[in-house]
Amino acid sequence: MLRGVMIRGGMTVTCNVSLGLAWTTHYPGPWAWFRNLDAAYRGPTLFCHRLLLTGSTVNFVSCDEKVDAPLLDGVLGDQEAPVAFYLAGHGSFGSTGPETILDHDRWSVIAKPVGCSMIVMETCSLVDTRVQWERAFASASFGTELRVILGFDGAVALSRGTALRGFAFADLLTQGMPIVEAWQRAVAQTSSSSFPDHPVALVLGDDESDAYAFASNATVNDIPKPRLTTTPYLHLVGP
Amino acid sequence: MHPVRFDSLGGVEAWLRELSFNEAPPSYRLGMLARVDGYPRQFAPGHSATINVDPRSDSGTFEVRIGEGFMQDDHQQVDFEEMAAQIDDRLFTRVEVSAPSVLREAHTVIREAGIDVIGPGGRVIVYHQPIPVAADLVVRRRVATVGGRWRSPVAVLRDGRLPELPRGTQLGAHFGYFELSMYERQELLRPVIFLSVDFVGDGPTMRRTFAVAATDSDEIGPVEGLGEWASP
Repeated sequence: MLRGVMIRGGMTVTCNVSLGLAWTTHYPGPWAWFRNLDAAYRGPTLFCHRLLLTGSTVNFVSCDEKVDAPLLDGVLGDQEAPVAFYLAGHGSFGSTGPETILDHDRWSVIAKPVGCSMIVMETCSLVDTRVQWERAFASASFGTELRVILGFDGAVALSRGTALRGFAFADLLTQGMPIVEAWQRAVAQTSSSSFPDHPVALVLGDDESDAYAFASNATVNDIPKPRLTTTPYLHLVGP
Repeated sequence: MHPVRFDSLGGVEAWLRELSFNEAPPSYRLGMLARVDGYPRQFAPGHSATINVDPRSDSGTFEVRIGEGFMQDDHQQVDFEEMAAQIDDRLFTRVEVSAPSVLREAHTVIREAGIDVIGPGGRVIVYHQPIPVAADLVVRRRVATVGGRWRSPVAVLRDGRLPELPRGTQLGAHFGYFELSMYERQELLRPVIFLSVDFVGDGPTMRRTFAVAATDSDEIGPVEGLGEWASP
């Protein structure tokens, strides 16, 4: 296995993390060329590509018609769930919170407890700060393992170019950068300056200080232990 | 020139026609530098921390790393824009920051043409947390000029597949030189129409952003310099 691959002047950090990735490319309906997300594979794949070079492993991957809510609930709810999961597809925000639109199904990241520590939602609207988004999270079922959900406030461009954020995020993680900071930087570095995307990180802590400490310090190699409470303190970082 | 929003295809076409009343700006061949000219210390005369300006092997852009002892407010003592100006001679303009982790951001203007550089690149970004990277200098050196001619508005719209868009689509457009991110290799800097297409009708919101060449030339390919941003 390759380790410590040089992208810049210095050596990178070994990131021995189990990864899961999934994406949805095709959607039924009119204007298929516009509705379909031909680039949805790029974010998860480039994220994985970069981390595999530093010692990580993949323990789940799926796409398109094979991805549905029962599969995701099963894989992510398992005790052997990947530590980091990256999902790309369409998303929307409604009264029940964020929802990922899959090939023939819909999935909510907050409907059932998951065993992952970190989930990246490369979809529109993990939150929508134009509305009282917190209400939708009041009845969420988080379990204790999940520490951070990374995503966007409102609409996000999911194009071939912007999907490079998956690589950028992983590249910054391999420098030992804290997860939340790495996500924000990755999106800033790969969004157009003309029409920037708005990254957010929803951090789950046992209490306020735990959530703020995670947001400031937690790296992918040093993710804190599971929370003690299933009703976490939510700390939204950004926009 | 700022990004412009349109609610009709006719509006975009008229805007493109108006642009082409001006002389067509040239494109530029780009080169990769091994290092930034000058010793990094000269850009931070009032500070004692170690400053390293390292090239990325994948893109040739530079990352600024600053050693221990550097505090957040110290960024004002470091002339990151002047460092970037050693890479390519442009105008640097401070702008409102584009992300919460960004402390300071400057966009660039190609001095000779008076045209903004847009895209994920063409920027100097200084971050809140200096460790391990304090700033990205995402500018590349121009080494040769390639003359060009305006493409017709019809050709630009066709490349962006805009005539095929559904009702309820909102269009944003920005004209400028297009520079790729710090993770992408780029050998040509060219004028583009950068487009943002939002569908906000029934169903989920959808957004795409991409670049379409604004000029062409016999010497350059139709999507050269656009990287992965050429496809709508």
